[in-house]
Amino acid sequence: MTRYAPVFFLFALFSAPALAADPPKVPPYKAVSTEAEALARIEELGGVVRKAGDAGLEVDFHHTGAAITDDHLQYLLSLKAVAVLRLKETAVTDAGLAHVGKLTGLRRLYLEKTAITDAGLKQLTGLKELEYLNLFGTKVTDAGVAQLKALPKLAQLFVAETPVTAAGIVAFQKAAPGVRVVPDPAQERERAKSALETAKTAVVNAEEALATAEKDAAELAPKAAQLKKELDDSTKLLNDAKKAADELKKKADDATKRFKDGGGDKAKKDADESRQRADDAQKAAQAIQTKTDQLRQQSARAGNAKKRAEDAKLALDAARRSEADARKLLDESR
Amino acid sequence: MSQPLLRRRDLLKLSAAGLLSGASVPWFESLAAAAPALKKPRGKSCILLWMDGGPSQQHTFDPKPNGEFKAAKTAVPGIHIVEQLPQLGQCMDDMVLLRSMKTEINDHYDAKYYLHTGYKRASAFEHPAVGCIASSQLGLPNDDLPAFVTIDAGSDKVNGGRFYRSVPAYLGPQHAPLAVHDPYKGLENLKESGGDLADRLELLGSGEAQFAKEYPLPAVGAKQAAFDRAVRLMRSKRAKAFDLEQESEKTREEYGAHKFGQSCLLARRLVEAGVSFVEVFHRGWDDHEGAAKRIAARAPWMDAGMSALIRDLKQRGMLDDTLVVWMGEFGRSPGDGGGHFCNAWSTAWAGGGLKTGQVIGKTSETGKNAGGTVTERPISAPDYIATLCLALGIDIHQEFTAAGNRPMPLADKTAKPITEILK
Amino acid sequence: MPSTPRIVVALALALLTAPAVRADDPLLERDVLPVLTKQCLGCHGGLRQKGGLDLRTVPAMLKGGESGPAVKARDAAASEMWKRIESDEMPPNDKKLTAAEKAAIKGWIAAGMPTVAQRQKDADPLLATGKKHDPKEVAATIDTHLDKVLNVAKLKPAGRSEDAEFLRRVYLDLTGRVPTAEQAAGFLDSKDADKRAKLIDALLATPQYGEQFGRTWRDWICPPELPSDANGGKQPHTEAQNLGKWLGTRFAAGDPWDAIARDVLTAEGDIKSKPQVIFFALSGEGGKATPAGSARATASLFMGVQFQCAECHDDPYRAWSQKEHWALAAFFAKTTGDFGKVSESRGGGRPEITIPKSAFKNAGNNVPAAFLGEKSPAVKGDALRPAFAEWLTAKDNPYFARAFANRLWFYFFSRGIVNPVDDFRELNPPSHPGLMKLLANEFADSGFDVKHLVRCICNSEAYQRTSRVAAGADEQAVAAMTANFGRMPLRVMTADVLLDSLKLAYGDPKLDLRAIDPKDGNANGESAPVAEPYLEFLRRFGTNEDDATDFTHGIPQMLAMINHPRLLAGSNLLDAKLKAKPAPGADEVVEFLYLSTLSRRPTAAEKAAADRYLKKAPDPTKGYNGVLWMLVNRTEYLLVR
Repeated sequence: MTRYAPVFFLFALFSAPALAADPPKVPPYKAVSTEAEALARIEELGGVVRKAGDAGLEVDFHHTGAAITDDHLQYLLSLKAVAVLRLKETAVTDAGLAHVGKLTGLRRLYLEKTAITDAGLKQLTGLKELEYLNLFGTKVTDAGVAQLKALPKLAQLFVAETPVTAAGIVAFQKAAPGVRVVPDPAQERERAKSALETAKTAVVNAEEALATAEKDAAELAPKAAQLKKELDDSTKLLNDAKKAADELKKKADDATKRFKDGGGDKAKKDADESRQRADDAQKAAQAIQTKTDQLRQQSARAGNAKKRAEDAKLALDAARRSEADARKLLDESR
Repeated sequence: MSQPLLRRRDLLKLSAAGLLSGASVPWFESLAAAAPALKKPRGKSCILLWMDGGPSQQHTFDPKPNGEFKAAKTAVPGIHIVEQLPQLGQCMDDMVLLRSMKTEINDHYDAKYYLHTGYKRASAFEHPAVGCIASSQLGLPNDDLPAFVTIDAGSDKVNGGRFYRSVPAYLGPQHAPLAVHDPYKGLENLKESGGDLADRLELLGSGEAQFAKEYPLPAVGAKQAAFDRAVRLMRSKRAKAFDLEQESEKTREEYGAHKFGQSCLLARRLVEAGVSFVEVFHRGWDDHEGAAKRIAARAPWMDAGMSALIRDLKQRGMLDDTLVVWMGEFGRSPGDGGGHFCNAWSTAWAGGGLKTGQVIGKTSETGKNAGGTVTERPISAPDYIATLCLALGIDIHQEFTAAGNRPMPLADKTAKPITEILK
Repeated sequence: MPSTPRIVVALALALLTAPAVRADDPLLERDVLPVLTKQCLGCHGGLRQKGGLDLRTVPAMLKGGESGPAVKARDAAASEMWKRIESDEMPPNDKKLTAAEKAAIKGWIAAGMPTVAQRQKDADPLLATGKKHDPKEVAATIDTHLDKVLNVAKLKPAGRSEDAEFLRRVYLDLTGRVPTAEQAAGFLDSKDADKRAKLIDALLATPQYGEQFGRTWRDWICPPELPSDANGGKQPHTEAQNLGKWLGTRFAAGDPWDAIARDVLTAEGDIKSKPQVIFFALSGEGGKATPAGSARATASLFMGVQFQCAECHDDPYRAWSQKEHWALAAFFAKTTGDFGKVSESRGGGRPEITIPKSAFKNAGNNVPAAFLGEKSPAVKGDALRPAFAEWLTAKDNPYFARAFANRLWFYFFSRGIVNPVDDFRELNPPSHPGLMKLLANEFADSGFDVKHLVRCICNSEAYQRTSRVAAGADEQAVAAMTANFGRMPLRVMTADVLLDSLKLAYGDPKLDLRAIDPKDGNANGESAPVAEPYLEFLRRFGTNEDDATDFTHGIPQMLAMINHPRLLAGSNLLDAKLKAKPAPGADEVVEFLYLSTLSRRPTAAEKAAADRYLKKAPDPTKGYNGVLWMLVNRTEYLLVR
């Protein structure tokens, strides 16, 4: 028979003004004897324990923040087969890694933005199953990373936003060629090269666009008014021609109908001639259409030449800046 | 969530039907499912980049020999995409291109529905969108953050038919997405308004306590719990995930000054904070007047944003656990991309622990209508949804219960997932 | 009461005359059918009959399949079904029956396969049929019946609600918004012994009554996101709202339900003159009316029958056949409709329909029109829908009156007498058959007078019971009592009602809680994710339609209530109150705020807490705004006691 227990818990939450104050204090580490107890303590701290693959557990302290300290990691030692451990942005330090080092089945370890250093890494060298190690945003250096070559199964290592240098990574890659390191200096160089190529092409295109625009501005723009007039005239001509063509077509259709309705040879001749005249008129109209379109294009180019030139100049400046950035990137990655 | 044998409510309904039985029958109790001691495996997170309106494949990821856009080499020998997307080309070893999408529906809304749910729209009821499925299968219940968030990355043109809104349908309203309408503004109503929230909460607390005493019922508990979670979220560090100002200028520049890029950045932050599924949508890809000019204008920011996202995820070691999917509801006609085209189009995936650096499926290369037919490995909408769910670690053989006790499989039974890309 | 002895005798007889059936025997619908539905009917039901065996009804089980009858009354050992279940031969997958489930089936066969339906066959209709009764008499009869049932089940009903509880509840149920402070004070302070009945009458005479019922039915007819497509297709939100408004004016005018139903079902013409024509396209597909869609909606809304499965095949779990579904749909075969109009093609030919290709089975077969449960109607080819409407709204039609009565009961009690509310069938019996008959008869005999039925229900003690729960009460006992209508449930305000209540509390008919500023440009047209204030509020604060006691709001809704600036910015009514002469004191203002939100006066403790808060406030108006904020964030505000 269940009572409404959960609601009373919330009642307690609301009766205290504690809601307005700081979050409740974090329970300190207390030794446990069973796995079930350890699980309960971990959940109390805000950790999440999940199944990870076939054998093994994932313990996720990702959202607990400063609540998790080195001591709390001892709970992990009471769990069977911790395979994945997430400690990103927790208050864990090198001391805590002493406990982590004892989790011999650990396969993935996340230590982003924690206060660990090279000394802490030394304690991990016993993790024979470790495949993935994430040190993003920590203070490890080339020397610390070098120790990791002792990890036989290491396949992925992340050291972005750390003091680790490109040289250090290269050295490590030589010592442990099976490990994929991010960032990878070789890849970064490729990327920089390709970015430079792209930027160079962009500069060339921008220069071309500028040249065309300036040419138009110099040659066509002065003729803008004249071109417009020519366009208007041509348009008028075109409308007349279209009208004429339509009328002739109608005449041709009528003639054809008359023929079909039982006219004789004369009707046929009329129809054919009408048809011919209509087609000619159509062709003439087409030609005027083409010319009008050309004039329209030119008139447009004349009209917006000045603006296009300005835009193209801006684009060229931007492209040149991109090229400079790309060059810098490439130099940095050497 | 697949239902337990009988929901509690049903049991009580039935017991009430038997007038002569007021006491509990023993076997009711045994049906209370024991809560699992360990939560399910984590699964992966997903960032869906939805290009609403139908982006042209020949102007993005499947250029053709005489097409309007030229093909360019990428980081993977043998794979070419349009030259307008150079940075994405450099990410190709972390990407998979699916070029043989063949999805039968050319109407905007019906196609959006189809590609979000894997089912064709029926009049009898609605199907849950893939984001809601992910929320129900991968999210933690009663978590501070919702498991599914959508981000509006703006539009450059108002077209593309009716907006599709992800609905949870029979999965339950708690899996409806949280909508961020403006990435620059973050989560609406997250910031305290008026200065004295602490005092007001104290004023509220005394009345609430009394009410809970007089009405100790599930609805009261649920409301107070939701309220409590909202207040905790306002104070929690995780809510800072919604605030783009927390990122460095450098990072924000890398993603590009456009709303799309900033939305990608916000999506990365949300995944880091534990959101399982983020859908970033950008509207206006329905280029009936021809795709070339428009996509040429969009390519710079799309290239910058999406490639920055992939690189950033990789740097942080998140790429294996995060699947990025770029797509629309269909493609566009071969040639100038002027019409809707569902017979042969492309989507692009990245990360997610997939076997990347490859292309799945082929479209015709030659002839007047190059790219108009799928020549290898056609992928239907059910195939696509099933693959997506498998990649995220969701069991696609599950069944839910829809209205009228109707069993609904998560993925259509005819779906053939693309196992070639799954590890 | 003359009816009292009858019900006691009926129950006693049921107990005594049923041969050797004990009070706790397993019953088919309650104990056995759920197991069969989950484990067996998929292969031995309407969709498939493996081995020729259908297990949906007792006659079907007795008929059996290829291996002969499945059950033998009182002899489990000789029952083929039991033998196979016991040995785990069935079901042939991994999910075997548990020991408890097997015990239920065995016990049921051994007891002679009793069913709830048998027991309810001779349920007493409780009042003389053929005439309309005084609402108070009906109300008293409802109460006597429910009390008897509770008594037999050894459940003690909850006491009467306090005035404040009842006041707010009846305003919300009948007019869809909380009372104003003045209205609340007026009721609470009245010494009239008959004030509750008078309030019910008064509320039924307001236009808001019509509005609330109109929009409730609007939501039952169409889902919030309407089925509209085609590139650039416009969603008929406005037209759907107009349908609600049209229904509202009919309800407010007191038009009988049969007239309203006929006007909907036989509507033809343009939506501008007949808002109800949109009913067909809303229940159709792709914005067009379909016979199957019209049949399904009509069956669910007006007949209490769930037909969605039977469109494509015989319903696996219910006894409806696909033929019956299409026979009903045939009445709508000549109807064409979209979001603008509905028309009927004339011309003769037999009234029949061809099952379309979209159906799983039997596509291409012709099915003649037939009223549900009867053979083909005698109808001339022309007047299909009118003939159907006439049959449906006839006084003795078995579906019409009880479907509405059940829905109305569901509306007030968050639980129908038959559940789900549109699933009337033999194997889903009403929990209170006498009550169902009473309400259906009363409704029909009053000429389908909706207001009359509302009066009958709202004047009953059952409706006026408190929703309070004693501290430490057993959850299961409370649930059983509520399910037997011995206590009013605690319900969540729907979005419409919440919005109107907020507008009233803030004195702002244009209250807008949208998350974004329209000036930001995200609100353009139907490809926009955020459109107009009303729609956006409905989307955000929607509730569980099937279960009003289910609180489903989450973080986005709570954040909106906590932090949206509008809710802290004060109210016009408050400003007017503060400007009144003589200037009101703090107590008076706080009381005013409590009355306009929670519809009651503050307790001493609440007054003290408000005082403490107001002392800290920088200026009085800010302080009062804070108190108002607090009140709309109270759980008591969002819920309906």
